[in-house]
Amino acid sequence: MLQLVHNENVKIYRRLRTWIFGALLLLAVIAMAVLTNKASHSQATHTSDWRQELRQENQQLQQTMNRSGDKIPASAKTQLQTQINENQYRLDHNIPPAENSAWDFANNAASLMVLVTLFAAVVAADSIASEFSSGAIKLLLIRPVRRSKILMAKYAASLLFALALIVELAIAAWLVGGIAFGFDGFATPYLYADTASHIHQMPMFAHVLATYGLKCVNLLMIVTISFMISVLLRSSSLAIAVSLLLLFVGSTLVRVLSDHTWVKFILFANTDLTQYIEGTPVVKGMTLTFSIIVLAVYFIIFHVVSWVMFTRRDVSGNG
Amino acid sequence: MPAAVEIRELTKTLGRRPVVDHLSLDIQPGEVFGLLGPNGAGKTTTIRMMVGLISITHGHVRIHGHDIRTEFEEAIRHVGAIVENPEMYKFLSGYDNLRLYARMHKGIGKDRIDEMVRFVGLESAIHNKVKTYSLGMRQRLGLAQALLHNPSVLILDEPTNGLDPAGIRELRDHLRHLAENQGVAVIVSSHLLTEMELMCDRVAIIQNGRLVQVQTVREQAPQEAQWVEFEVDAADTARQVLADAGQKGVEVRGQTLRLAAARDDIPEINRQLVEHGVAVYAIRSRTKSLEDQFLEVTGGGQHAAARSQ
Repeated sequence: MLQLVHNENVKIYRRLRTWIFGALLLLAVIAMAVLTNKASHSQATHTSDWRQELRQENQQLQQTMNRSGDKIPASAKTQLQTQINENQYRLDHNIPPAENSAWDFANNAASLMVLVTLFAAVVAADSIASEFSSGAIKLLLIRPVRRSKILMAKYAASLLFALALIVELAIAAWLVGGIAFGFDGFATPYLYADTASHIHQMPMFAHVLATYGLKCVNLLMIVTISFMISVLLRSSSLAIAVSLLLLFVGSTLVRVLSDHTWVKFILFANTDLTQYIEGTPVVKGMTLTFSIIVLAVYFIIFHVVSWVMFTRRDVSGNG
Repeated sequence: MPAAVEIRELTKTLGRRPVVDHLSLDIQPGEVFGLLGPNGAGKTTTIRMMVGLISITHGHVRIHGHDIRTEFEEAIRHVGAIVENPEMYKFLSGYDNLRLYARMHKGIGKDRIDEMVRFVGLESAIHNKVKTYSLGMRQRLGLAQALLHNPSVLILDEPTNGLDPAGIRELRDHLRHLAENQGVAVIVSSHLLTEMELMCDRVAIIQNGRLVQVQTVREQAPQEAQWVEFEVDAADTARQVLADAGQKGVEVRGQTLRLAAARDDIPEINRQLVEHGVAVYAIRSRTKSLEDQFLEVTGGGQHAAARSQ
């Protein structure tokens, strides 16, 4: 089995494409650091008198709230209230607003998980479809190895590639962030608001881990569905196209249709678990447990479909 | 001796149409067996069922007694194959491709890979990427891949596709060698009769998925013209002797004379040479085929001879 995974790794890492993906991710991190740096320079940096600033800001926010009355929507009001609460929390607990730091940057760079997901989806979607479109599948399946083992090895290699990209992103973000903004900031707690706009704090590294961890769930689901598509389609370019289409259209579609309650059973309404940490769920009434169950069901379905199709399929015709 | 491959009532239907229809065959160790039929006769479908690439509707395939369906791993272990074109990973070198396949079998080391590379004569290009290979080179790599794990059953689907006449001859020599010296059961498919006649011991003719007949390829008839080579000590003298005796078209290559002659004429030619004081070290006769004539015209014969040495 290890030999099979090794073989699949050879097929992934001996391709130029793979290294281009790695380089693009690194470039994206660096570009993000440069942009963040510029933005923080153009803003007035926080003076030592941050308390004064926060008090002023809160006064302004309070005035805006009072003046606008019922004219602004409830969500905007909640947002304003949350900001006021956060500022007040900082004043009460003597926590200055977060400066840019390696940790803070690593946290922001989690948004680049989109790229990781994109690249991992391409590799997973290509994994089996390319064997069919190149014809190499015929020489692969006439070895004394069961098809299910080959399928498992390919899935494992796809996940390992995704993991390699995550590790690359995390290390690159921390290093680049550290070089650009300094490595301190570890002790600064991360503040977040719950649904009732109450402010809580958690250690920074825990928040960074949680963010990456939850985005990994999304990644895992995307890789798995791309892998299934790879089994179903014989053309690798078509498999990649369909996977990416789902990746980009899926969550948008869910947002557009979010008024219907059945939307909560769609995979893409549940893949982003960070919605339960910050902000509100796409569809009202969804809970973390609900999402985990839905994801688990999809996960099992994808694997069963992949397995049945791959082990039973006739390898014939042109591809 | 039990059959290396036993095919019984093998049937494959797609929709309602039988592509392969109750086909039964036994292929013995040490023979080169041909599947002959027009395109679409069901040769490739039969081969795909034999190696487990497609499901079997009815009947069975046993390889050394192991059913390909129920004991896939045990059965396929004995099989080396190329199905249609040998398509491998183009972004890898030939050598890396072979290493991939070697890892999927037990106990294939570097020595065995190198041995196979030498056997198919790919030493000089084996570390280049496969995308730079010609079709002929891919066929060689395909053969190396199929032989890597020392299979006792070798299945080649249209193996001469894309090979030049010299390459075809070389392949034929390889297959002969494997069958005769190593007892491998070799199964090849083709739609070309002449090719099958030259390559195979027995040929199964298939049409519309059905077995028409199994034919043992006939021995060379004694009266037919053939190439005869005389290895002598003085080639020029010998040529003069034969010219005086009225023999035409005598070729000289080093110490060897080559001419077309019927089998019955060989003792007479030899007698004349000996009477004129020419020492004859060896007499070899070879079948003169259509292919030989083609090779003479294209000059591929020398090429093949040089490569097989």
